[in-house]
Amino acid sequence: MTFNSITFLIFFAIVVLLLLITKIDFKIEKDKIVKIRHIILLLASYVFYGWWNWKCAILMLALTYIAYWTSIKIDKTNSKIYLSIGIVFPLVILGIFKYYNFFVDSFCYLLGISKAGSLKIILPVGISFYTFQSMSYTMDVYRRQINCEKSFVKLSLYIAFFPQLVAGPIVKAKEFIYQLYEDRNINWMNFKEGIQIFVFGLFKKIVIADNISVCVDAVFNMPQKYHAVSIVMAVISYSIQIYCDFSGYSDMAIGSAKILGYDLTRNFNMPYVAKNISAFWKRWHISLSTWLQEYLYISLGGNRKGEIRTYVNLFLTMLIGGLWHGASWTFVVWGAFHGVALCIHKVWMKLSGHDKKYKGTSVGNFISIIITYIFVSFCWIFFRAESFELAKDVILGIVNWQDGIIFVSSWSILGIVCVLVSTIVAWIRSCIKKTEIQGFYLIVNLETIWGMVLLFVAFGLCFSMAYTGGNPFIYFQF
Amino acid sequence: MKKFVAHLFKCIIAGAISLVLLSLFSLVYYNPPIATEQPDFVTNYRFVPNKNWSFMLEGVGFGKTDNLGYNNAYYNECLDPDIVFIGSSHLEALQVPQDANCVYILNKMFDEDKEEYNNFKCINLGVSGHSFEVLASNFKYVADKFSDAKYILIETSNVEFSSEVLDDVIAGKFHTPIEKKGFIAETAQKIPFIRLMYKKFNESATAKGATVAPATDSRSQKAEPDMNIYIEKMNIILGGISEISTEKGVKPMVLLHESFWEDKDGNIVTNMNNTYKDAFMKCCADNGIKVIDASLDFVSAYKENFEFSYGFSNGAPGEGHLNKTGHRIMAETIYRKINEMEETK
Repeated sequence: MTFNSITFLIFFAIVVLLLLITKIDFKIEKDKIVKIRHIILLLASYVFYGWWNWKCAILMLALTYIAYWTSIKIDKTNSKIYLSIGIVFPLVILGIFKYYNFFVDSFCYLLGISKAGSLKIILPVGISFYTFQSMSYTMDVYRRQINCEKSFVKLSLYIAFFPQLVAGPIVKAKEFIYQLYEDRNINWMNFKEGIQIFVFGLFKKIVIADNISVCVDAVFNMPQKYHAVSIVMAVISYSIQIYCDFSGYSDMAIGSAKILGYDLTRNFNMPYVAKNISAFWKRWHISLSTWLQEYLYISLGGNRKGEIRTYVNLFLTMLIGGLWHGASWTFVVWGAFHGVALCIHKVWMKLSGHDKKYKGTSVGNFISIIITYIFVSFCWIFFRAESFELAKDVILGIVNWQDGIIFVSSWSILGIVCVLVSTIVAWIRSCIKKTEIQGFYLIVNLETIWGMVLLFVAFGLCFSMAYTGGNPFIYFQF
Repeated sequence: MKKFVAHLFKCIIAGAISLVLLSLFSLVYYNPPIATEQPDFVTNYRFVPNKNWSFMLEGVGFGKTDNLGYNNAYYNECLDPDIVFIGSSHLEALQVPQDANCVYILNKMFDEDKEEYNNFKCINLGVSGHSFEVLASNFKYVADKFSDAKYILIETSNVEFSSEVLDDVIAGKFHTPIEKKGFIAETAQKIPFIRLMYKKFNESATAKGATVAPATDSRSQKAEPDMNIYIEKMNIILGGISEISTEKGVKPMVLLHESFWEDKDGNIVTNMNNTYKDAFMKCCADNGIKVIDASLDFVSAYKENFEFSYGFSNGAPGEGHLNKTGHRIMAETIYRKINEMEETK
């Protein structure tokens, strides 16, 4: 069940209906009503997740129980043993399901032996997301940043909340659990906003990302056959595809949570206008980069252990961040590139004497944006290519200005136009507001007929231009 | 309650305005001709005559149906054609502008050529869903209607049929003229946005669970077919076509084409099973039916200029219907072959 399926729309309508029923005055205590709502949402989340594979839902339940049990023990004893259990258990689960075969295969390859000891297991959808949430909760309790959650239902709902369950945003406990103590439910104000954010994300996913994927897949499957122009366009297209795919999912998650009365953190903020790689990571997959910063980089020592260690920590954080995306060396290389770039940027900032407040000239900023975009897109080649061989073919195809099939997808052009137009609009808005360029949701007033017309037309266009070949969200595999 | 009713009222009005706006969009984006009954049964259906259409779901096509309800623009009503084209959606050619489709180009070429022996007029009766099985079943009606024609070209991109399908062709079961639709369906068809939604839901249902497989391995899993049965039954079908043609004084031909791909080692791989293709070609030869194979010219164009004859910029490269290049090459191939035949007379 994905956000862009009819099944989800029916499922979501049922959840909304059930929650609306709880608004009827049954003369039941408010606390109990809130509990009922939480139970409805929790059951819905497990149905949503179990739709793929019910066994995976049991795995998630087990993980939740470990987080619940260890956090209570930590709260009572502040023991590092329980903290270790709370971190190691999810890591072991993640390791077995996601990385075991990868490391075994790599080991066998290194030793030149035939594949042995591989497990025939499926990768539970969204496992990287909910294991991270579970670990961050345990660490937050240990660090006394949040109170230990005594209600198993609330903690389960935090980990399993279906809008953000399978592809983020990675919500931190301190950003979500407090909402469960408030009387939150569907209301017209949230509904109006949420539905628009949802449609915005839907458009990005099913119209732009999915349609672009057709040409990207073709070129990345056999780059040797394509002209350099086609390969360059495929790389640019992929940068747009992955942005629209993932930010589209995040928008749909944020929108559907909003409809249900909950706020999720923003996950993207116009990443391709970042002036440097450090700024890029403040705009791309924000929930992951802040997670990595708070729970990995800082845990490794951050910048507290000298200059060299700072660079090592930064590099390691990105390397692990790369591996988080998938069990493949191409992801590791992708992370390594970003790690090196972040280190170089840090060195540059130090040598040039510029601090974080340095604004630069307009021309300089423009060139910086272009260079950052080119670097990020170059790294996407490793992210997208299924092997180093194919990544090499893509790069050599461009460098050697290879002859071959010229194919420029009209969907890529549409994607580029959409990104450019939204960037220009955001830039004009930032000039008027005299702030840095920020992404925003265009929310219309649904009290008016024209507001509703805009929403209906947007919905209609989404379905009219949707790619119907069936394309899962890229980040589901992570 | 009053507030709710007022809001509901606004919703209904907004819905109606949206439907109008989305239909305007659909008029450009997806407004193919509407199918209607074909009184002569030469095809299972035709389109409503003299109606504008546009199609942007795959490629970009636009135009107007002719007086007979087909996609012909060179002659608006060609009742005395010399060459009749029957075929599938490839020949229907909604994916390209009308003046870029194979039959239009061919008409133009014959028209501009001042040789007397090939002063031919062509008509395109291509409509979606008319694969070889249907065309073979409908052949007698075409030969009957256009008995004054010189050639009838049967376009197909598939020659692989099971024994059961061939039995059905022999029994004429694919001749299934459409019937008049009910009032609701007729009305819904007139609202472009509803047609677009219907199309999208159908596509979505078809694609559900399916994955895009490369053309290279599509046939690799199948067991070796019994070609003797295929040849026996195909001979009955083609023999029938040949017999009708002789009776009516027309010459049947098969216009064959197949999509292809170049694999990593530089080999050209086609979608068509060569065992079937060879058997089909042999059956055609045995029954005096000439085959024009455009595939070889398609491959040449690809090898020379990396030009694909199938696929569009809004789809996957090399996959889908014939594109402008494909139609042009196909027209040139047919032109060349027909001239060769006429010159040798």
